[in-house]
Amino acid sequence: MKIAIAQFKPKLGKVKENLERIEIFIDEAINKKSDLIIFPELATSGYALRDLVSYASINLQNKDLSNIIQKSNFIDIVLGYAQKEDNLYYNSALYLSEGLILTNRKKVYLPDYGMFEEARYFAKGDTLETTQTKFGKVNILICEEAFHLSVHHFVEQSKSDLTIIISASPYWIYENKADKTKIWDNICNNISSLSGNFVIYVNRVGFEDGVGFFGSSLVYNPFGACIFKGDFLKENLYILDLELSDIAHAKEFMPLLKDKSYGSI
Amino acid sequence: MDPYKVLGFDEPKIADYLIEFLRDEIYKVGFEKAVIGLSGGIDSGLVAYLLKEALGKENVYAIILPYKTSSAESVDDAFKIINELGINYKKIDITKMADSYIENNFDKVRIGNILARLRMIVLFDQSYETNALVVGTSNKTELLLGYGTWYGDMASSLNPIGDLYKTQVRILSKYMGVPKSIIDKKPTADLWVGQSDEEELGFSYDEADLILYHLFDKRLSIDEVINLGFRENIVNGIFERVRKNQFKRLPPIIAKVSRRSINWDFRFLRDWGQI
Repeated sequence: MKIAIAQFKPKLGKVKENLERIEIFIDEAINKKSDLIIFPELATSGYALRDLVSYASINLQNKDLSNIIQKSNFIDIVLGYAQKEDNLYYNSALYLSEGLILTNRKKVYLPDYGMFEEARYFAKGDTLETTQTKFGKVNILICEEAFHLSVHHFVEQSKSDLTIIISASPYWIYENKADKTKIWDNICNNISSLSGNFVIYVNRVGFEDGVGFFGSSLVYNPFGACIFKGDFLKENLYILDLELSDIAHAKEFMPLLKDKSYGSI
Repeated sequence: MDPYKVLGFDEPKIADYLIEFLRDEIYKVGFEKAVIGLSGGIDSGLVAYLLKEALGKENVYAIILPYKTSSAESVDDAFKIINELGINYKKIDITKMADSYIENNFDKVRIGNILARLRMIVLFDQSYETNALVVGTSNKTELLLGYGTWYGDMASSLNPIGDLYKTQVRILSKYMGVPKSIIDKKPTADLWVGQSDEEELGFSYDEADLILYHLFDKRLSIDEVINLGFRENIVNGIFERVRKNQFKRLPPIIAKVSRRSINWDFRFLRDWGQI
Protein backbone atom coordinates (compact mmCIF):
# COMPACT_ATOMS: atom_id res chain seq x y z
CA MET A 1 0.00 0.00 0.00
CA LYS A 2 1.23 3.47 -0.92
CA ILE A 3 0.35 6.30 1.42
CA ALA A 4 0.75 10.05 0.95
CA ILE A 5 1.39 12.21 4.00
CA ALA A 6 0.35 15.79 3.43
CA GLN A 7 2.37 17.81 5.93
CA PHE A 8 0.12 20.71 5.07
CA LYS A 9 0.31 24.41 5.92
CA PRO A 10 -3.20 25.84 6.10
CA LYS A 11 -3.87 29.57 6.15
CA LEU A 12 -5.90 30.66 9.14
CA GLY A 13 -9.53 31.19 8.16
CA LYS A 14 -8.89 31.08 4.38
CA VAL A 15 -11.08 28.08 3.63
CA LYS A 16 -11.39 28.55 -0.12
CA GLU A 17 -7.65 28.91 -0.58
CA ASN A 18 -6.97 25.93 1.67
CA LEU A 19 -9.45 23.74 -0.21
CA GLU A 20 -7.81 24.64 -3.52
CA ARG A 21 -4.39 23.70 -2.18
CA ILE A 22 -5.75 20.49 -0.65
CA GLU A 23 -7.01 19.51 -4.10
CA ILE A 24 -3.56 20.17 -5.59
CA PHE A 25 -1.99 17.89 -2.99
CA ILE A 26 -4.57 15.20 -3.74
CA ASP A 27 -3.92 15.41 -7.48
CA GLU A 28 -0.21 15.03 -6.90
CA ALA A 29 -0.76 12.00 -4.69
CA ILE A 30 -3.02 10.47 -7.35
CA ASN A 31 -0.33 11.08 -9.99
CA LYS A 32 2.14 9.29 -7.79
CA LYS A 33 -0.21 6.29 -7.56
CA SER A 34 -0.92 6.63 -3.86
CA ASP A 35 -3.78 4.66 -2.32
CA LEU A 36 -4.46 6.97 0.59
CA ILE A 37 -3.67 10.62 1.37
CA ILE A 38 -3.83 12.00 4.89
CA PHE A 39 -4.21 15.66 5.81
CA PRO A 40 -3.74 17.06 9.32
CA GLU A 41 -6.29 18.32 11.85
CA LEU A 42 -8.31 21.39 10.80
CA ALA A 43 -6.55 21.47 7.44
CA THR A 44 -9.36 23.42 5.77
CA SER A 45 -9.48 26.20 8.35
CA GLY A 46 -6.28 26.52 10.38
CA TYR A 47 -6.14 25.90 14.09
CA ALA A 48 -6.56 28.85 16.46
CA LEU A 49 -9.88 29.97 15.03
CA ARG A 50 -11.45 31.70 18.01
CA ASP A 51 -14.36 33.72 16.57
CA LEU A 52 -13.31 32.73 13.06
CA VAL A 53 -14.93 29.39 13.82
CA SER A 54 -18.27 30.68 12.52
CA TYR A 55 -16.76 31.92 9.25
CA ALA A 56 -14.39 29.01 8.65
CA SER A 57 -16.53 25.94 9.38
CA ILE A 58 -18.07 23.82 6.66
CA ASN A 59 -21.51 22.24 6.58
CA LEU A 60 -21.26 18.78 4.99
CA GLN A 61 -24.53 19.49 3.15
CA ASN A 62 -22.89 22.39 1.33
CA LYS A 63 -20.99 21.85 -1.87
CA ASP A 64 -17.67 23.06 -0.40
CA LEU A 65 -16.26 19.56 -0.15
CA SER A 66 -17.84 18.07 -3.26
CA ASN A 67 -14.65 18.30 -5.36
CA ILE A 68 -12.67 16.52 -2.69
CA ILE A 69 -15.32 13.84 -2.18
CA GLN A 70 -15.33 13.37 -5.96
CA LYS A 71 -11.56 12.87 -5.96
CA SER A 72 -11.93 10.03 -3.47
CA ASN A 73 -12.97 7.91 -6.47
CA PHE A 74 -9.27 7.81 -7.28
CA ILE A 75 -7.65 7.82 -3.86
CA ASP A 76 -8.83 7.38 -0.27
CA ILE A 77 -8.65 10.61 1.72
CA VAL A 78 -8.42 11.43 5.40
CA LEU A 79 -9.11 15.09 6.08
CA GLY A 80 -9.35 17.16 9.24
CA TYR A 81 -11.78 20.07 9.02
CA ALA A 82 -13.90 22.50 11.02
CA GLN A 83 -17.46 21.26 10.74
CA LYS A 84 -20.70 23.17 11.18
CA GLU A 85 -23.79 21.18 12.04
CA ASP A 86 -27.05 22.32 13.63
CA ASN A 87 -25.47 25.63 14.64
CA LEU A 88 -22.66 23.90 16.49
CA TYR A 89 -19.04 23.55 15.46
CA TYR A 90 -16.93 20.42 15.59
CA ASN A 91 -13.26 19.58 15.12
CA SER A 92 -13.89 16.69 12.73
CA ALA A 93 -12.15 14.13 10.55
CA LEU A 94 -13.42 12.50 7.36
CA TYR A 95 -12.52 9.20 5.77
CA LEU A 96 -13.51 9.42 2.10
CA SER A 97 -13.42 6.54 -0.35
CA GLU A 98 -14.97 5.87 -3.76
CA GLY A 99 -16.98 9.06 -3.66
CA LEU A 100 -18.51 8.26 -0.29
CA ILE A 101 -18.08 9.47 3.27
CA LEU A 102 -17.17 6.32 5.19
CA THR A 103 -16.63 8.17 8.46
CA ASN A 104 -17.18 11.64 9.83
CA ARG A 105 -15.73 11.68 13.32
CA LYS A 106 -16.09 14.58 15.77
CA LYS A 107 -13.21 15.07 18.20
CA VAL A 108 -14.11 13.77 21.64
CA TYR A 109 -11.30 15.19 23.77
CA LEU A 110 -11.01 18.93 23.19
CA PRO A 111 -8.09 20.47 25.10
CA ASP A 112 -8.82 23.71 26.94
CA TYR A 113 -5.82 23.99 29.27
CA GLY A 114 -2.64 26.02 28.84
CA MET A 115 -2.70 27.68 25.43
CA PHE A 116 -5.60 25.56 24.15
CA GLU A 117 -9.14 26.88 23.69
CA GLU A 118 -10.81 24.14 21.67
CA ALA A 119 -13.56 23.33 24.15
CA ARG A 120 -14.61 26.99 24.15
CA TYR A 121 -15.39 26.97 20.44
CA PHE A 122 -16.09 23.39 19.46
CA ALA A 123 -18.82 21.03 20.63
CA LYS A 124 -17.65 17.66 21.83
CA GLY A 125 -18.06 14.51 19.78
CA ASP A 126 -19.34 11.48 21.64
CA THR A 127 -17.92 8.41 19.95
CA LEU A 128 -14.75 6.81 18.80
CA GLU A 129 -15.21 4.62 15.78
CA THR A 130 -13.33 2.22 13.58
CA THR A 131 -13.74 2.45 9.82
CA GLN A 132 -13.73 -0.65 7.63
CA THR A 133 -11.73 0.32 4.55
CA LYS A 134 -10.30 -1.56 1.59
CA PHE A 135 -6.95 -1.58 3.40
CA GLY A 136 -8.27 -2.94 6.68
CA LYS A 137 -9.81 -1.51 9.82
CA VAL A 138 -8.75 2.06 10.46
CA ASN A 139 -8.96 4.21 13.59
CA ILE A 140 -8.71 7.93 13.06
CA LEU A 141 -7.66 9.84 16.14
CA ILE A 142 -7.62 13.63 16.31
CA CYS A 143 -4.56 14.99 18.12
CA GLU A 144 -5.30 15.20 21.88
CA GLU A 145 -7.39 12.02 21.71
CA ALA A 146 -4.16 10.06 21.32
CA PHE A 147 -3.03 11.40 24.75
CA HIS A 148 -5.84 9.50 26.50
CA LEU A 149 -5.19 5.96 27.68
CA SER A 150 -8.88 5.16 27.32
CA VAL A 151 -8.44 5.78 23.60
CA HIS A 152 -5.43 3.46 23.48
CA HIS A 153 -7.66 0.83 25.06
CA PHE A 154 -10.27 1.46 22.39
CA VAL A 155 -7.65 1.06 19.68
CA GLU A 156 -6.52 -2.24 21.14
CA GLN A 157 -10.05 -3.59 21.46
CA SER A 158 -11.02 -2.45 17.95
CA LYS A 159 -8.72 -5.10 16.40
CA SER A 160 -7.68 -2.48 13.90
CA ASP A 161 -4.88 -2.55 11.33
CA LEU A 162 -4.04 1.10 10.93
CA THR A 163 -4.23 3.95 13.37
CA ILE A 164 -4.09 7.40 11.84
CA ILE A 165 -3.45 10.35 14.12
CA ILE A 166 -4.04 13.76 12.58
CA SER A 167 -2.86 16.76 14.53
CA ALA A 168 -2.15 20.47 14.80
CA SER A 169 0.48 20.11 17.48
CA PRO A 170 2.32 23.25 18.59
CA TYR A 171 6.03 23.18 19.32
CA TRP A 172 7.67 23.81 22.66
CA ILE A 173 10.71 22.66 24.54
CA TYR A 174 11.19 20.71 27.75
CA GLU A 175 14.28 20.38 29.94
CA ASN A 176 17.34 18.37 28.96
CA LYS A 177 17.05 19.38 25.30
CA ALA A 178 13.81 17.45 24.89
CA ASP A 179 10.90 18.89 22.94
CA LYS A 180 7.36 18.16 21.85
CA THR A 181 8.47 15.60 19.26
CA LYS A 182 9.34 13.22 22.08
CA ILE A 183 5.77 12.79 23.33
CA TRP A 184 4.54 11.90 19.83
CA ASP A 185 7.37 9.46 19.35
CA ASN A 186 6.34 7.76 22.58
CA ILE A 187 2.64 7.65 21.71
CA CYS A 188 3.22 6.25 18.22
CA ASN A 189 5.69 3.73 19.55
CA ASN A 190 3.27 2.59 22.26
CA ILE A 191 0.22 2.22 20.05
CA SER A 192 2.07 0.51 17.22
CA SER A 193 4.02 -1.94 19.34
CA LEU A 194 1.15 -2.81 21.69
CA SER A 195 -1.66 -3.04 19.14
CA GLY A 196 0.21 -4.36 16.10
CA ASN A 197 -1.05 -1.41 14.03
CA PHE A 198 0.74 0.76 11.57
CA VAL A 199 0.56 4.19 13.19
CA ILE A 200 0.59 7.17 10.86
CA TYR A 201 0.95 10.52 12.59
CA VAL A 202 0.35 13.56 10.38
CA ASN A 203 1.07 16.96 11.90
CA ARG A 204 0.60 20.32 10.19
CA VAL A 205 3.19 23.07 9.76
CA GLY A 206 3.09 26.88 9.76
CA PHE A 207 2.84 29.59 12.42
CA GLU A 208 -0.27 31.24 13.87
CA ASP A 209 0.44 34.37 15.92
CA GLY A 210 3.85 33.03 16.89
CA VAL A 211 2.72 29.49 17.67
CA GLY A 212 4.66 27.08 15.46
CA PHE A 213 3.14 23.79 14.32
CA PHE A 214 6.14 21.62 13.81
CA GLY A 215 5.36 18.88 11.28
CA SER A 216 7.78 16.03 11.97
CA SER A 217 5.08 13.55 10.93
CA LEU A 218 5.78 9.92 11.78
CA VAL A 219 5.09 6.39 10.61
CA TYR A 220 5.62 3.46 12.96
CA ASN A 221 5.34 -0.11 11.75
CA PRO A 222 3.32 -2.74 13.68
CA PHE A 223 6.49 -3.93 15.42
CA GLY A 224 6.92 -0.52 17.00
CA ALA A 225 9.75 0.72 14.81
CA CYS A 226 9.81 4.21 13.33
CA ILE A 227 10.00 3.86 9.55
CA PHE A 228 9.43 7.49 8.57
CA LYS A 229 10.07 10.96 9.97
CA GLY A 230 8.87 14.09 8.19
CA ASP A 231 10.80 17.35 8.17
CA PHE A 232 10.61 19.80 11.06
CA LEU A 233 8.45 22.83 10.08
CA LYS A 234 8.51 22.22 6.30
CA GLU A 235 5.43 21.79 4.15
CA ASN A 236 5.78 18.68 2.02
CA LEU A 237 3.96 15.74 0.45
CA TYR A 238 5.65 12.46 1.32
CA ILE A 239 4.88 9.18 -0.41
CA LEU A 240 5.83 5.88 1.14
CA ASP A 241 5.04 2.20 0.93
CA LEU A 242 3.56 0.19 3.78
CA GLU A 243 3.93 -3.58 3.81
CA LEU A 244 0.47 -4.46 5.13
CA SER A 245 1.38 -8.10 5.71
CA ASP A 246 3.55 -6.83 8.59
CA ILE A 247 0.34 -6.34 10.57
CA ALA A 248 -0.52 -10.05 10.68
CA HIS A 249 3.08 -10.98 11.45
CA ALA A 250 3.29 -8.50 14.29
CA LYS A 251 0.02 -9.71 15.79
CA GLU A 252 1.21 -13.28 15.53
CA PHE A 253 4.50 -12.37 17.15
CA MET A 254 2.75 -10.66 20.06
CA PRO A 255 -0.89 -11.89 20.25
CA LEU A 256 -1.93 -9.67 23.15
CA LEU A 257 -5.60 -9.70 22.12
CA LYS A 258 -5.76 -13.47 22.65
CA ASP A 259 -6.34 -12.89 26.35
CA LYS A 260 -10.03 -12.12 26.01
CA SER A 261 -10.67 -11.59 29.69
CA TYR A 262 -8.65 -8.37 29.46
CA GLY A 263 -11.42 -6.52 27.68
CA SER A 264 -13.83 -7.12 30.53
CA ILE A 265 -11.52 -5.71 33.21
CA MET B 1 21.97 25.21 39.75
CA ASP B 2 23.45 25.99 36.34
CA PRO B 3 21.05 28.13 34.29
CA TYR B 4 22.83 27.16 31.09
CA LYS B 5 22.03 23.54 31.80
CA VAL B 6 18.46 23.96 33.07
CA LEU B 7 17.51 26.38 30.28
CA GLY B 8 19.52 24.68 27.53
CA PHE B 9 17.95 23.49 24.28
CA ASP B 10 18.75 22.02 20.90
CA GLU B 11 20.30 25.16 19.37
CA PRO B 12 20.11 24.30 15.63
CA LYS B 13 16.46 23.33 16.02
CA ILE B 14 15.47 26.50 17.88
CA ALA B 15 17.42 28.61 15.39
CA ASP B 16 15.49 26.95 12.54
CA TYR B 17 12.25 27.50 14.42
CA LEU B 18 12.82 31.23 15.01
CA ILE B 19 14.04 31.80 11.45
CA GLU B 20 10.92 30.10 10.10
CA PHE B 21 8.78 32.17 12.51
CA LEU B 22 10.26 35.40 11.10
CA ARG B 23 9.76 34.33 7.50
CA ASP B 24 6.25 33.03 7.99
CA GLU B 25 4.89 35.91 10.08
CA ILE B 26 6.54 38.61 7.92
CA TYR B 27 5.66 37.16 4.49
CA LYS B 28 2.06 36.37 5.43
CA VAL B 29 1.26 40.05 5.91
CA GLY B 30 2.81 41.02 2.60
CA PHE B 31 6.24 42.21 3.73
CA GLU B 32 9.73 41.00 2.80
CA LYS B 33 11.87 43.29 4.90
CA ALA B 34 12.59 44.03 8.51
CA VAL B 35 14.01 46.96 10.43
CA ILE B 36 15.61 46.74 13.87
CA GLY B 37 17.24 49.10 16.29
CA LEU B 38 20.78 47.82 16.69
CA SER B 39 22.22 48.84 20.03
CA GLY B 40 25.44 46.87 19.96
CA GLY B 41 24.08 44.58 22.67
CA ILE B 42 23.42 40.88 22.55
CA ASP B 43 19.61 40.94 22.12
CA SER B 44 19.37 43.09 19.00
CA GLY B 45 22.58 41.42 17.80
CA LEU B 46 20.99 37.97 17.93
CA VAL B 47 17.86 39.22 16.18
CA ALA B 48 20.05 40.67 13.39
CA TYR B 49 21.69 37.27 12.90
CA LEU B 50 18.31 35.51 12.81
CA LEU B 51 16.86 38.07 10.39
CA LYS B 52 19.74 37.72 7.98
CA GLU B 53 19.09 33.97 7.80
CA ALA B 54 15.34 34.46 7.49
CA LEU B 55 15.11 37.25 4.92
CA GLY B 56 18.57 37.60 3.37
CA LYS B 57 21.00 40.42 4.18
CA GLU B 58 19.58 42.78 1.56
CA ASN B 59 16.21 42.74 3.34
CA VAL B 60 17.45 43.64 6.82
CA TYR B 61 17.82 47.27 7.93
CA ALA B 62 19.78 47.92 11.10
CA ILE B 63 19.32 51.38 12.55
CA ILE B 64 21.88 52.68 15.04
CA LEU B 65 20.36 55.36 17.23
CA PRO B 66 22.94 56.97 19.50
CA TYR B 67 22.31 59.81 21.93
CA LYS B 68 25.13 62.11 23.06
CA THR B 69 25.67 60.05 26.23
CA SER B 70 25.68 56.67 24.42
CA SER B 71 28.94 54.81 24.85
CA ALA B 72 31.25 54.68 21.85
CA GLU B 73 31.71 50.97 22.54
CA SER B 74 27.99 50.35 21.85
CA VAL B 75 28.21 51.99 18.42
CA ASP B 76 31.45 50.11 17.63
CA ASP B 77 29.81 46.81 18.54
CA ALA B 78 26.80 47.59 16.36
CA PHE B 79 29.16 48.17 13.43
CA LYS B 80 30.95 44.92 14.21
CA ILE B 81 27.63 43.11 13.62
CA ILE B 82 26.77 45.12 10.51
CA ASN B 83 30.16 44.39 8.95
CA GLU B 84 29.94 40.74 9.86
CA LEU B 85 26.46 40.30 8.35
CA GLY B 86 26.60 42.77 5.45
CA ILE B 87 23.09 44.03 6.24
CA ASN B 88 21.82 47.52 5.39
CA TYR B 89 22.31 50.19 8.03
CA LYS B 90 21.70 53.78 8.94
CA LYS B 91 23.10 55.77 11.84
CA ILE B 92 20.69 58.40 13.09
CA ASP B 93 21.74 60.52 16.03
CA ILE B 94 18.72 61.30 18.24
CA THR B 95 20.46 63.97 20.35
CA LYS B 96 18.85 66.93 18.59
CA MET B 97 15.37 65.44 18.76
CA ALA B 98 15.76 64.48 22.38
CA ASP B 99 17.36 67.70 23.58
CA SER B 100 14.74 69.87 21.93
CA TYR B 101 12.29 68.35 24.44
CA ILE B 102 14.34 67.36 27.49
CA GLU B 103 14.68 69.99 30.22
CA ASN B 104 17.30 70.35 32.93
CA ASN B 105 15.10 69.05 35.71
CA PHE B 106 14.27 65.70 33.98
CA ASP B 107 15.62 62.75 35.97
CA LYS B 108 17.54 59.94 34.32
CA VAL B 109 14.64 57.46 34.20
CA ARG B 110 12.44 60.06 32.54
CA ILE B 111 15.19 60.81 30.01
CA GLY B 112 15.73 57.08 29.45
CA ASN B 113 12.05 56.63 28.61
CA ILE B 114 12.16 59.57 26.22
CA LEU B 115 15.19 58.11 24.43
CA ALA B 116 13.53 54.69 24.13
CA ARG B 117 10.36 56.27 22.74
CA LEU B 118 12.21 58.49 20.28
CA ARG B 119 14.02 55.43 19.00
CA MET B 120 10.64 53.77 18.56
CA ILE B 121 9.41 56.75 16.50
CA VAL B 122 12.46 56.63 14.25
CA LEU B 123 12.24 52.83 13.79
CA PHE B 124 8.57 52.93 12.82
CA ASP B 125 9.25 55.85 10.49
CA GLN B 126 12.13 53.95 8.90
CA SER B 127 9.86 50.94 8.54
CA TYR B 128 7.48 53.15 6.55
CA GLU B 129 10.27 54.37 4.30
CA THR B 130 11.73 50.93 3.64
CA ASN B 131 8.40 49.06 3.57
CA ALA B 132 9.62 46.83 6.38
CA LEU B 133 8.24 45.56 9.68
CA VAL B 134 9.81 46.60 12.98
CA VAL B 135 11.14 43.49 14.68
CA GLY B 136 11.33 43.57 18.46
CA THR B 137 14.36 42.61 20.47
CA SER B 138 13.07 42.34 24.07
CA ASN B 139 13.82 39.02 25.76
CA LYS B 140 11.55 37.08 28.11
CA THR B 141 13.44 38.17 31.22
CA GLU B 142 12.93 41.85 30.41
CA LEU B 143 9.32 41.36 29.37
CA LEU B 144 8.43 39.48 32.55
CA LEU B 145 10.28 41.89 34.83
CA GLY B 146 8.84 44.87 32.95
CA TYR B 147 12.40 46.10 32.48
CA GLY B 148 11.73 48.13 29.37
CA THR B 149 9.89 51.24 28.22
CA TRP B 150 6.24 50.81 27.37
CA TYR B 151 5.74 51.94 23.75
CA GLY B 152 9.49 52.41 23.60
CA ASP B 153 11.84 49.47 23.18
CA MET B 154 8.87 47.17 23.96
CA ALA B 155 7.08 48.30 20.79
CA SER B 156 7.39 46.17 17.65
CA SER B 157 5.38 44.23 15.09
CA LEU B 158 6.79 40.85 16.03
CA ASN B 159 9.51 39.50 18.28
CA PRO B 160 11.49 36.28 17.77
CA ILE B 161 13.23 36.28 21.17
CA GLY B 162 10.43 37.31 23.54
CA ASP B 163 10.07 33.73 24.80
CA LEU B 164 13.80 33.27 25.44
CA TYR B 165 15.33 34.17 28.79
CA LYS B 166 18.56 36.20 28.78
CA THR B 167 20.50 32.99 29.44
CA GLN B 168 18.86 31.40 26.40
CA VAL B 169 19.64 34.47 24.29
CA ARG B 170 23.29 33.93 25.23
CA ILE B 171 23.15 30.24 24.34
CA LEU B 172 21.59 30.90 20.94
CA SER B 173 23.87 33.88 20.24
CA LYS B 174 26.89 31.67 20.69
CA TYR B 175 25.44 29.14 18.25
CA MET B 176 24.54 31.85 15.69
CA GLY B 177 28.05 33.30 15.79
CA VAL B 178 27.39 36.64 17.50
CA PRO B 179 30.88 38.03 18.37
CA LYS B 180 32.09 36.77 21.73
CA SER B 181 32.92 40.26 23.00
CA ILE B 182 29.25 41.20 22.56
CA ILE B 183 28.00 38.04 24.28
CA ASP B 184 30.36 38.49 27.23
CA LYS B 185 30.03 42.21 27.90
CA LYS B 186 28.05 43.54 30.85
CA PRO B 187 24.36 43.97 29.91
CA THR B 188 23.27 47.61 29.74
CA ALA B 189 20.34 49.58 28.38
CA ASP B 190 22.90 52.39 27.91
CA LEU B 191 20.28 55.00 28.75
CA TRP B 192 22.74 56.89 30.96
CA VAL B 193 26.49 56.76 31.44
CA GLY B 194 27.65 53.64 33.26
CA GLN B 195 24.18 52.06 33.51
CA SER B 196 24.23 48.34 34.36
CA ASP B 197 21.10 46.17 34.11
CA GLU B 198 22.13 43.86 36.91
CA GLU B 199 23.13 46.66 39.33
CA GLU B 200 19.89 48.50 38.63
CA LEU B 201 17.75 45.38 39.06
CA GLY B 202 19.60 44.21 42.16
CA PHE B 203 20.15 40.64 40.98
CA SER B 204 21.94 38.84 38.19
CA TYR B 205 20.26 37.57 35.02
CA ASP B 206 21.48 34.07 35.86
CA GLU B 207 19.58 34.20 39.14
CA ALA B 208 16.52 35.97 37.72
CA ASP B 209 16.18 33.51 34.85
CA LEU B 210 16.18 30.51 37.15
CA ILE B 211 13.69 32.11 39.52
CA LEU B 212 11.37 33.19 36.69
CA TYR B 213 11.63 29.78 35.05
CA HIS B 214 10.61 27.96 38.23
CA LEU B 215 7.88 30.44 39.17
CA PHE B 216 6.20 30.63 35.79
CA ASP B 217 7.33 27.97 33.32
CA LYS B 218 7.28 25.28 36.00
CA ARG B 219 4.47 26.91 38.01
CA LEU B 220 6.16 26.44 41.39
CA SER B 221 4.91 28.46 44.37
CA ILE B 222 7.07 31.23 45.84
CA ASP B 223 7.83 28.98 48.85
CA GLU B 224 8.87 26.11 46.63
CA VAL B 225 11.26 28.37 44.74
CA ILE B 226 12.77 29.69 47.99
CA ASN B 227 13.21 26.08 49.14
CA LEU B 228 15.32 25.45 46.04
CA GLY B 229 17.87 27.79 47.64
CA PHE B 230 17.06 31.20 46.19
CA ARG B 231 17.07 34.26 48.46
CA GLU B 232 13.62 35.03 49.86
CA ASN B 233 13.69 38.79 49.24
CA ILE B 234 14.83 38.29 45.64
CA VAL B 235 12.13 35.71 44.85
CA ASN B 236 9.43 37.90 46.40
CA GLY B 237 10.79 40.97 44.65
CA ILE B 238 10.83 39.28 41.27
CA PHE B 239 7.29 37.95 41.67
CA GLU B 240 6.09 41.46 42.56
CA ARG B 241 7.87 43.00 39.58
CA VAL B 242 6.18 40.53 37.24
CA ARG B 243 2.78 41.21 38.79
CA LYS B 244 3.06 45.00 38.75
CA ASN B 245 4.22 45.08 35.13
CA GLN B 246 1.46 42.94 33.66
CA PHE B 247 0.03 46.13 32.08
CA LYS B 248 3.10 46.48 29.87
CA ARG B 249 2.45 43.10 28.28
CA LEU B 250 -1.12 43.85 27.22
CA PRO B 251 -2.94 46.35 25.01
CA PRO B 252 -4.79 49.14 26.85
CA ILE B 253 -7.96 48.07 28.63
CA ILE B 254 -11.26 49.17 27.14
CA ALA B 255 -14.45 49.90 29.07
CA LYS B 256 -16.96 47.24 28.08
CA VAL B 257 -20.27 48.75 27.00
CA SER B 258 -21.52 46.61 24.13
CA ARG B 259 -22.39 42.93 23.87
CA ARG B 260 -19.23 42.32 21.92
CA SER B 261 -16.11 44.13 23.04
CA ILE B 262 -12.65 43.98 21.50
CA ASN B 263 -10.57 41.12 22.92
CA TRP B 264 -13.14 39.97 25.51
CA ASP B 265 -15.81 38.62 23.20
CA PHE B 266 -14.52 39.84 19.85
CA ARG B 267 -11.67 37.37 19.67
CA PHE B 268 -9.46 36.86 16.65
CA LEU B 269 -5.80 36.14 16.20
CA ARG B 270 -3.74 38.84 14.54
CA ASP B 271 -3.16 36.38 11.69
CA TRP B 272 -6.80 36.96 10.72
CA GLY B 273 -5.39 39.97 8.87
CA GLN B 274 -2.97 38.01 6.69
CA ILE B 275 -3.12 38.31 2.92
